[in-house]
Amino acid sequence: MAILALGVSVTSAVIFTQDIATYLDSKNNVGVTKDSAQQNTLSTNEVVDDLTQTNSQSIFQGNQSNQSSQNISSTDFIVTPYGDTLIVPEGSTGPFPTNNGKGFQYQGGEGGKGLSNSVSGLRIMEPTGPNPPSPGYPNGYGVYNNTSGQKINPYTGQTIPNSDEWAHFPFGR
Amino acid sequence: MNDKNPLAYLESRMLGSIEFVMDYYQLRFNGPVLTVYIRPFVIADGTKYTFDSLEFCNLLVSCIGQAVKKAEIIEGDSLTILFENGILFQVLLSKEDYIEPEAAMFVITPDNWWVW
Repeated sequence: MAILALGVSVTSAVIFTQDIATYLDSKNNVGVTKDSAQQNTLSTNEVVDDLTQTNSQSIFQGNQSNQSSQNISSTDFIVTPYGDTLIVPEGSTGPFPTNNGKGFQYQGGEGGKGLSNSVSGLRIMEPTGPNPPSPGYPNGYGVYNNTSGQKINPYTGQTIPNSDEWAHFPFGR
Repeated sequence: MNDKNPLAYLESRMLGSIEFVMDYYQLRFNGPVLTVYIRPFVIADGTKYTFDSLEFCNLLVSCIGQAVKKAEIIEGDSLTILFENGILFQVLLSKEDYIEPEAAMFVITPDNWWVW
């Protein structure tokens, strides 16, 4: 289990409560690719649909402070089925899915809950296969960014290269 | 908005700035931002200049202030931007070229974005 920050004052959460593949199977495999490197692909568009519609079979659970306004979120953190916990920057809005189904993001906001004040966004991205030097992210990965959209270490606020271990936070490791 | 080729949104827009960020690049078009994570190259007068050549930076910088003549992304193939000064900026997107989990990100607004 990986936890990005401790000592968090939890007021709301987004939690994956079942395995992504199981969830997608129940949805007639929508979003699951046949590429072996991409098995168990998280269909993030579906996740966002469920999150915003508060679907009864949602793989997320939690509270959002402004239920009347879609995509306005005060989500504090996200938990994956693998136990990874990612802090959502304070005051950020989302989730906003990519237009091509590769992930979703919370943007805006500023640090909070142990994050550097430079953190201004979090992306949750689909699984990818290995392709050296990229190790691959079979369960997906998270990315923190600053106001310029540059990848940063969420604790130090330092801009980091793609090769940095903090550039892509792997799920399920 | 062209769903298959969202980069067409950049056509006629001017490249305002380029940021050389650690090991990747951000091209800013006075609002929209194209971030390129895998190694691009430029083609000028029929010659190809890879990211590790001195001319690459000079040619890319010379595109600042230039409007985009044509911009296209073909998934699994390439991302291409042709500037009005004739310089072509390109990233190859074949599976072998994906040395990072993501090749590029295009953001118009936080709720209008793409990753390839």
